Amino acid sequence: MKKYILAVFIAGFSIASCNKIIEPKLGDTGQIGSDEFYSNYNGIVQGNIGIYPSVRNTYNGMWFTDLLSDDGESSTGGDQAWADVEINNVDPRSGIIEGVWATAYNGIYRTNTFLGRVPAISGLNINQNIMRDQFIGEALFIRALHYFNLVRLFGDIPLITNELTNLNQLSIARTSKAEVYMQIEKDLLKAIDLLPEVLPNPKLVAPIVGNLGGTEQGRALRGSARTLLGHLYLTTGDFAKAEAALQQVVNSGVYTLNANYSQAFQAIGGIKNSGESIFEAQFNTTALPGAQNSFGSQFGPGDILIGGVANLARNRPTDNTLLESIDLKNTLVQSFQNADNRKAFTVSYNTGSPIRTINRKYYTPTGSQGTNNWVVYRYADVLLMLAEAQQAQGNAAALTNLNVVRSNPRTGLSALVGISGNALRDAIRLERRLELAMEAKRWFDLLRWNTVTEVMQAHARPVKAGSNGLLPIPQAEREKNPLLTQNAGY
Amino acid sequence: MPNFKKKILKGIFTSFFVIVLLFLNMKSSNAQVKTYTGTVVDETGIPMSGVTVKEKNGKMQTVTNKMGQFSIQTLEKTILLFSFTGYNALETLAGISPMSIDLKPIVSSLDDVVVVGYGTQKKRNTTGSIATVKSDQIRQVPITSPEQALQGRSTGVMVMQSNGAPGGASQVQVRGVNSTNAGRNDPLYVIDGIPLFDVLNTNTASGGGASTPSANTGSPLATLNSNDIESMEVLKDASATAIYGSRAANGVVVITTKTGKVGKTKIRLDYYYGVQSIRKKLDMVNATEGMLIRRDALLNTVSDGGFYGRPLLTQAFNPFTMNSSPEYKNIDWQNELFRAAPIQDANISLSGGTDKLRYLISTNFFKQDGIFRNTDFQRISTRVNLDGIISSKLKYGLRFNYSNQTGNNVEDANPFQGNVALALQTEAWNQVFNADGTYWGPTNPVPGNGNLTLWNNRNPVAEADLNIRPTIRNRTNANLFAEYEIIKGLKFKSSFGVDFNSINNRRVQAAFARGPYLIISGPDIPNNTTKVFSYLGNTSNWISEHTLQYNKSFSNHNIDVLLGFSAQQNVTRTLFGLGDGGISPSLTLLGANIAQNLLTSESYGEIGLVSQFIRANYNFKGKYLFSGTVRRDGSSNFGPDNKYGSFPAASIGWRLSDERFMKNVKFIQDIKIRASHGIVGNQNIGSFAFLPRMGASNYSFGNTIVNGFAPNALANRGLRWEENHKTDLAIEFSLFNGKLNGTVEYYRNRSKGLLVPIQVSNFSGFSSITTNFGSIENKGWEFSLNGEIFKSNTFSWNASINLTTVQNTVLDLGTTASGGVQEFFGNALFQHGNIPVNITRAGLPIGSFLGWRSLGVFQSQAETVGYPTRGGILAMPGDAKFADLDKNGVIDDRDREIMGSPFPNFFGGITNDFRFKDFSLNIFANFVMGNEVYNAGRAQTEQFLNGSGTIQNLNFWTPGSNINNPRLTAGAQSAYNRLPSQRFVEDGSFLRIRNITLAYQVPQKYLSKIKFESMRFFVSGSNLFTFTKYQGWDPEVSSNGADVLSGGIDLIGYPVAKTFQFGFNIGF
Repeated sequence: MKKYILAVFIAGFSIASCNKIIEPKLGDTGQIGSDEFYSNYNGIVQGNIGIYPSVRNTYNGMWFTDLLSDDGESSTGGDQAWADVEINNVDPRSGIIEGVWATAYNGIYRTNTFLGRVPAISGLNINQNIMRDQFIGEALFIRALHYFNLVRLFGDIPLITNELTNLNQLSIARTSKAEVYMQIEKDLLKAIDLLPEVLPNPKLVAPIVGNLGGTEQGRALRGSARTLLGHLYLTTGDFAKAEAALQQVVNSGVYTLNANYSQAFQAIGGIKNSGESIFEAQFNTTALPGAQNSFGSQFGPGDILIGGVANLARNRPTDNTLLESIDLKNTLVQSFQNADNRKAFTVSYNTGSPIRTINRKYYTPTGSQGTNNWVVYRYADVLLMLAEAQQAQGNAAALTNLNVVRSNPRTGLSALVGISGNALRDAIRLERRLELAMEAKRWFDLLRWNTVTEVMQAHARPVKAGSNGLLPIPQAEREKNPLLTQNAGY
Repeated sequence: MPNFKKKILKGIFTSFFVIVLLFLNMKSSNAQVKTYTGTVVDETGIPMSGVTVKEKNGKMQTVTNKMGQFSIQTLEKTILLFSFTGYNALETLAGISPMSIDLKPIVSSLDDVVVVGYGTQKKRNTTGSIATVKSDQIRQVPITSPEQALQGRSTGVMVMQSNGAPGGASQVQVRGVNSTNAGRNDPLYVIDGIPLFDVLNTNTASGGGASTPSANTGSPLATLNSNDIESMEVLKDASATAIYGSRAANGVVVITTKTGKVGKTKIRLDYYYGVQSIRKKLDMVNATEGMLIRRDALLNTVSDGGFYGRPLLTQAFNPFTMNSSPEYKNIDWQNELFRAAPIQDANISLSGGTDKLRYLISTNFFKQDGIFRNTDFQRISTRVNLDGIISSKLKYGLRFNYSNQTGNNVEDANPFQGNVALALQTEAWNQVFNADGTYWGPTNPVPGNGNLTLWNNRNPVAEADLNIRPTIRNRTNANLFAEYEIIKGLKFKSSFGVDFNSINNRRVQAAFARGPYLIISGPDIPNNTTKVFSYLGNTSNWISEHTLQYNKSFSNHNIDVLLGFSAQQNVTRTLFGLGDGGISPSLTLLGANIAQNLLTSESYGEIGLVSQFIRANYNFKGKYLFSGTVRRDGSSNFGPDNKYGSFPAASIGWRLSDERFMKNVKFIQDIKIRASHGIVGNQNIGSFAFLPRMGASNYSFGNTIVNGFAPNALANRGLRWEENHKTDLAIEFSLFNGKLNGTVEYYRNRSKGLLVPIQVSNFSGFSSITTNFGSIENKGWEFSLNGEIFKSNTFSWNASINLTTVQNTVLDLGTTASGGVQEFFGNALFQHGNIPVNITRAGLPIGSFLGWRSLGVFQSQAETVGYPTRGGILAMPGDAKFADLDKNGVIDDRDREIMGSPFPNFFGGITNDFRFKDFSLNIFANFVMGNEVYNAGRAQTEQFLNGSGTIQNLNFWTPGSNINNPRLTAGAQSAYNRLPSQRFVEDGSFLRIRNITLAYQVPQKYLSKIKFESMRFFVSGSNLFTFTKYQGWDPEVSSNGADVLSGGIDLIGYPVAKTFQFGFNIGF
């Protein structure tokens, strides 16, 4: 009998201890569930940081827009998908385009999750509340930035501003460009309100030590949001508002032009987050997994003679004096005056044969482990946008602002005098092309000026007929979401 | 350890010596009457009562008592005869008391006892599909890991030893591939009742180049000493496997180790020594030919107008102009990298026992040097198996095993790091050593171009010697059980087992000039600095099981019911670190010396299973057989909605031969028809896939790294196990007095609810979500036949053959929202500009090959004019011509077609056993027919810039030659010419003489004089002959291992060796 009892006891013991083993705790595995994560201040801090990598991912590849424009070209041969980008014949099935779309919407999803959950978190002290406001402002800025990129590249796009949790909600139609612009404006106005002018946040009642104090370079500031807002107004043709927003950036006194042009770019001896920097995508060493850029392998000259992978010679400044680019017109390198110091910082040449250009601002010989930042906005850009907004309104200050950028020791050029009207407009446009060459500005500028069709025609790389420069909506997305219509021309 | 090895060797030599002495001292003596005592036991070691013991040529006779003991008075040198109904009579010389006699049952194969889940069963009464491989078959071929012994031995089991590295993992597929998910197609291994969780084969370290070298951990069974194995049973159909429920979708391999038998201590020594060497070398181009190939490829490319825009320095055309003293040797890198390598296995076991306690203790030393330079594997293990009886009702036992495994491996299958692949890709003009004996290295950058090297001047010997990947693994298993017979026929059994496993896996990329200054992504950029990966992992696994079994026969009804409860938990912890920056080659430990880019990550995972199961077998007169099984598993891998799953199976059997109307058919001894159907599962889907989780999403502000989090998985609360519906129909027969036995079997497995990523819009934050959607079918026939072809007193010949057909078809992988069929591609192939070759698509076998249809080469300029191009690359005469299948005017991805699949039409094995007097000859062959292999390695050497490859590369197109191999080019043109096409798809069929063993069994008459029980000497050869059309090293290849979506690709992996060995088995 004793043995029966023993047997039953053993069995009973096993059953009792067992339900636990099939209900493990997520926390034990070093992971955390979403609900638990967004329940306290640390969740706000780290959730905010978790949004930023979407900026990094976006700007690791934004150079493809230069390849679309008349500023960049790719090596001949090799990859069809990239050749398609260069000749403005992008296939809706292109993985490149899908990647741009997916990266932006992933960033939007993260900001939506953050913005949806963070306001409800309670139990914060005064400082933490101030920091929460700042972080919300950063998230709004980043959401606006992603939408601004998407709407300019693709036209009408689905506008989503809340966290989608139900997978049945994923069929969403395109929202008109105008509505998307309105949302961006709304986000930015709120962001400007919440973001500090400088870091650490001057509103803090007591200083916070360390990372949480917000002294980190690379966070979005009020100036970043104002720049983006000005850029938005410039794009929508609201020149007075654009001027106002951009003038506030200038007036803030936070930003100055670097004494040396090269200072904004580490690849040519500059530094991260220089005085001119308004917003940069931050890259880092292999100590931070996934935080490196691939500019090295993408832009490199390809003069390594091995039958394996090497530099891909993509996105090189256009130069029609080179043999294989001889059919191109209005090429970037030829647009520079020889006296312009910026030319040598923008383009270099390999020593082999055939000679090819190299995107000097961003090329470092580090393969896919580049650590140099991508400059999203810098002060020179603000000044030129300001000039553009002023010129459009007939404001004479336009020329002054143009000359602030153009004529100083860092360019080696003299000031322009006595021009106005279309001549001034064209001078500002040329200055943008040169000052911001190979910084993923050109294609957006052409779209904004509505000159993309003629400029690319003149460059001998006409845009896809009927597309007006818009990219195709990725076919893969359309297959998953039947409500998505395709752009004209595709 | 070397001391230990010495001791073992010393022991072996000592015993040799003793044997010789005994032979020399053989003397005759006068016959006297003596009393001989002993014990008779059956095949399981249980004492047998009632066995008749008599003098063969005399009148003395006795019977064994309840304890199996006997005592008989007889003359010395008398032969005793032991007999018992149903058992083979045994004759033996009366020897030293107490004698220990094993009687073996008379075996028609259908009377065998087979191990099933949670017990044993008479084979004649089984209604499930079970294949058995016995210890002598397991030990025949030199193997590092027991699963390799299954190759060619049983129907339905496909074993591909696709990685010939010592300790390398084999792919074991029982009746096809049931899941599209990598690593989920292995059978469940059960060792002495303990089901093993996948142990540290899949590691989860965080990204950023922190991927761990999983291939190095090798086979999950490599810690097991194959000498210890009594039998391996492969459970294949639902009826046999359902008792393992949610883990049985891929079949179950039940491994049973040997146990002691009542009687005096028996000592067994088993030893072999072998020499392995590369099975086949390829004929490579020599340095001069290679240079010409390279020069012409470059010239052609330049005249075409470019080479990825790279400069072509004049030196590039002749590498020797780069060296001031071009004293070079023409190197065949296969000779430098491969070697004749020893393999040896020494095993000693002691077994015996009394009726109260039986024991088996064994120790094994196994060492295999790899045929590739600087690779090896070593295992030292000890086993203690005890079986005791406390009272007639209470029994207990212990299975204990400790194993220590160490070794070193190479990177393979990776085109950048793969040392093995370099044997066929390194230029013949590269050197091994400098004149001063140091390693030759890439010392010749072009002046003024620091980053420029002119050819792929790596030194694979230096890399093999200096880059090391050592592994140390320790594993301890113990299982303690007790069985109590409550009333007659009703037994309660409890067992508790543990399995501890720890592994330290390191990878050191030494600081030396290691090759071209490749600027590539990934972890191996640094040149001249040491990079170290270190991985520590341990698992602890416990299991507690309790069964109640009732066994009863009344009149003609036989009932056997099993009721069980099981709980098992497996906890895995890992710690992983990597760093680089060390510059002294002797400093290879992570820490301050190697502190650049230091990265660590830690992981913890647990899997728990709580299960109940029931099995009922019933038969009427042994003629009508029924069996039903249900297992209910609760698994930690599933969310609250799907925590529990039930897995039922039922089977029936009909022994036709017992029917009256069959009695008159004299040549038939036994015919049984059986059928089964059931559902089993695959719960190996990873933990917490049902929860929405946050994952690290770090950023840096300025240069300061900051930790962030972002959602990293979409929740799918409804996630559940993959289901496998198995149907089986078979006929088993035994004819001509048991001289011919066989089975014909049909099976069909349908996997349903496979975990497949379903595409969702990126608005969700992700591009796909894992759901239970896919469906795969595997079906086929299995034939096995074994028979006695000839038998006389002096000569016998037995033969067996088995053959399995597999038809693998993906039925459904889900659709995209627009109704398109979802497809999965395999790994992108570097050799083809990162174009994948495998495709998994509904209606086709998993991982079928996809590529362009080759129409030969353009023979003339005229032919190229207006012909569709790819990516705007203009073709020249001599370039490959591909078909524009969709006629859209360009050669694009939509022009690809299916080019075959890695699945064979059938596979199997053939065994022939010859016995002549005391000699035996065994010839064992296995074959695989109808599969294709994609020779990506050949595609790689055809890029011509390395000036290497096989002499096939000399057979290129030149104007007017009409040869259909493309001309010599490099760069983009070469990439175009090498697009995946039928040209690289080869017939992977082979027939391999896996083993030939010639053995001599020293006859009893000599042995008894020297008081030895048995002595056998053998010589054998493995993999000596392989008949195949495959052009690479070996058709048995799958460089992507268990990744079935990328199967059948030859990236020039570690080839399987051929081995000559000799050895002996001695018992005393």
